Amino acid sequence: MRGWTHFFSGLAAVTFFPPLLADLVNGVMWPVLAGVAAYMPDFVDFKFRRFLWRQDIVADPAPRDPRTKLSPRRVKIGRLSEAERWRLYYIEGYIERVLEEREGFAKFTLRDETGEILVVARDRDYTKLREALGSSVEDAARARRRVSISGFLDIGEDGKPYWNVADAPHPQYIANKVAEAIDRAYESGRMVTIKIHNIRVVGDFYRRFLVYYDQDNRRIVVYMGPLVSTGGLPLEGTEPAEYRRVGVAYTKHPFRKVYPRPTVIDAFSGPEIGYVKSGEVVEEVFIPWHRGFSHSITASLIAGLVAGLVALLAGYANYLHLAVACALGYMAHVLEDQLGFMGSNLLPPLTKKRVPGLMLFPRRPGLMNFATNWLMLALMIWNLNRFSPQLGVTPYKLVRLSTVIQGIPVHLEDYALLGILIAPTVLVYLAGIIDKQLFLREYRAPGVEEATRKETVEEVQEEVGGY
Amino acid sequence: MEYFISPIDVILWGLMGAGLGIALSWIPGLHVANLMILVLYATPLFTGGSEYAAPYFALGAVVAFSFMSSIASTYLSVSDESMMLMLFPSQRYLLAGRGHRAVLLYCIGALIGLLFLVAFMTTAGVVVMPIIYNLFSPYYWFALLAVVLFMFLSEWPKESDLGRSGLERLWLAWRQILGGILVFFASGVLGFYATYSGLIKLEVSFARLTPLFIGFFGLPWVLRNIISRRTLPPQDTRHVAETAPSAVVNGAASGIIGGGIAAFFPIITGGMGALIGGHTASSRGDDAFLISQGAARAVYYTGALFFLFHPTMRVTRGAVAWLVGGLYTPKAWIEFYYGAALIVLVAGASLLGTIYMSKAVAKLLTRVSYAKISAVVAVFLVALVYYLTGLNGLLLLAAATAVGFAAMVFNTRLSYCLGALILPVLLNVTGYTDEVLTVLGIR
Repeated sequence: MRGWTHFFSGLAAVTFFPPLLADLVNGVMWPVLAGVAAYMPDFVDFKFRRFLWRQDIVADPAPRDPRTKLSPRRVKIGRLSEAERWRLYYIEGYIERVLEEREGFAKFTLRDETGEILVVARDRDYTKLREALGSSVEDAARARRRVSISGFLDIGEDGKPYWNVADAPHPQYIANKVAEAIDRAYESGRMVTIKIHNIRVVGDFYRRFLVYYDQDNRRIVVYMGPLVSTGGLPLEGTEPAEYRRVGVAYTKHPFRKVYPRPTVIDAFSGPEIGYVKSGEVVEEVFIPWHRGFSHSITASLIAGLVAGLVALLAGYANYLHLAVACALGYMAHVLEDQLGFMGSNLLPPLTKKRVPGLMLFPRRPGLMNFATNWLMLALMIWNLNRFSPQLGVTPYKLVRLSTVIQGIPVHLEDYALLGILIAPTVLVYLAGIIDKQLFLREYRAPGVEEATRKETVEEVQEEVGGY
Repeated sequence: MEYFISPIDVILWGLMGAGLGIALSWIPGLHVANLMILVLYATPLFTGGSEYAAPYFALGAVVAFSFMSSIASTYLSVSDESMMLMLFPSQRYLLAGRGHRAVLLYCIGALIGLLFLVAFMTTAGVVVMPIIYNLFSPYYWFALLAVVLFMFLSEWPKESDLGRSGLERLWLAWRQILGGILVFFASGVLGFYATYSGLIKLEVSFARLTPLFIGFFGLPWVLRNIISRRTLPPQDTRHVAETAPSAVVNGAASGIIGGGIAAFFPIITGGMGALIGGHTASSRGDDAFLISQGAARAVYYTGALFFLFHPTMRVTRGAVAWLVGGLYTPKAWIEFYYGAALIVLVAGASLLGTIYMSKAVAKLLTRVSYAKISAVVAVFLVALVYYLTGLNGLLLLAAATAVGFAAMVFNTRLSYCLGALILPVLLNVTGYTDEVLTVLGIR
């Protein structure tokens, strides 16, 4: 669920309490705390825990320039070492000797103030290099122009390092890091968290890549994709050259991916992924700093208590109502998140791990979000309508179904109105249950699982490569 | 029955307003309220002084502005991606040579938004809107405070990943959040000076916020264009809108919700409404975002003014409606339906006008020095502020420009600058205005 949905749930909780509504009518704004309380679980996780969470392994495939905050950044040739292999940088200097240049291939040496390195450009990378140089390599060498060449360090078949001209890092770097994290988690017996940085380039575009867990073959497969906008729209013609699109690394120990889709990394920020040994298998914990104690019913009771105490100390008369509204808002957040897949640690200390969510509408989560917003708006309208005369806002209820629809008893008209208002949400939730069943049937059908998983990856692959 | 205005008059007034709206809406940072000040200056010149003309003249101008302002926001707000950690989608489109496509997506959203507005207001809205108004009007300030709090709570730290230790990451994240709070309160202080200090003469008090809005939202971009000596890549001016039906529905829904909230609740602006609309409709993707921007702005600007035409709702919402209502408030249903028809007519004309204007501007900006055009715009903005508000207005403009720059430096939301509007209102509602005025030395 999106942030506003949670915040809105807290505001809706306020409308169940006429004393709080009366305060709002009179300009006393304490009840807004219930909205804050309802947002608090995400605030704690995304504004504090995320930053303070320990990162055991950092995978930064394309370090950014500290000034421009864009990738790639310059590396001096003398500083290149095997630790930098496959990471995207650019080198800058003069072309010393052109060893070979033909259509689709060039081999030459480049020298800067710290050393010299062999540079190789092939396939589409050669074409892009020519575009960047504005001439052939031979001409650039003759002109003695200082040139910048992006790419990564690689080791040739002869065991010697060379600079591979490229516009993206090699995915092997990321695959190796993920495999290392899984093995380290197994061997140490504690959670190991890897931070995978995303790749931001000029024009505010991001290089998309995805991590696929092939648990049956103990393989980590990383696919390097095109540049995409922050909205995920791929930029035509930016797919990496075929020979450096896939990286594969094998783990020594078995692992299990809990979430049934590959991890896609592009805009905003790269994820933290935790790996923890469970029995004889390493399990993935996606963004491990999220949905812990902060997303529990236990925490919601504490939040209500704290809000009530603060209000009491500040002299707010309706502190008890406010405490209950805050606890309800907070709890609504926890329960709303439980409609999705990831789940939360609901009742610590009684529960230790995330309790998997209901996974309603797995293929249209946005609809669940919208339906929940509608539910909150419906509850607000219902409450404001029935409490308005009591609060003196209107002399009578603005909506009285018994006057519009014959046969509805006066004492039941409020409940009938509630039923009508929340009906769209109920329908969407029911559709969500059906969608879940269909999704699971597709995914778990005997003999289909492996094919389905491959298909899932291919779907994302299409998205990665498509336009 | 003979009506006091004829449909021909309405069309003429509306189209004249649209023409003026189009002529003025290219100015970056020009808020719709600022536009209306200029429009109302001009109204008698175009309408022959008819008291009934102002609402239609203004409606035409606002609808045209809803479309045409996309030209300024797309082509005259270029940014430098090394200075901002996340560009607006329109800026990204422009830097990728697709500025015209961004305008097309925006226009799709604006058109859908306006068609929805008219369809809703003339059918279900006739019954529903008065009920909604009566239910929610006692809680306006609660809604405003809630939205402001949500803006702060939901700020997404963009730079934090670059920190090496946990504490450094935390600092980088909170630097941005605290920067946003600073911008909000600095803008609020400027709002107090503009409103209460007498810096702006009483005779031009209707334009007291003009220096601030131009300073917050217009001049910083233009100055940055000049400083960074940015050049534009060649622009693709084919009429191609890259999107999918689902993104159109999603973006339009998001924009209509956001624009509707902004139009209905006082002080809440299009940007704030769009934030909520985006969260409600789970809007994602640049194409959906641009469509939602078009829908949100169109529904917000036009909807707020169109409420004035609703005979049984009796609500005056937004600076434009207050200005127009001071001249004449429509009272009969026929005036309401004339207004609805005029919205559709001007929307169609503005759509075509905007598309061809965008094409022309895209070609022009790749041939003429962008820095020079920006310099001309900067001079125009300063001259406009001086003309409307004098030397003191220029002082406010300079201070507001500094605050606008600060928002960029902190990589925080520009909408925090609306503290100039929001903070004085919130403190007034909660009864703290006198204390603040004393602290600021205004009283």
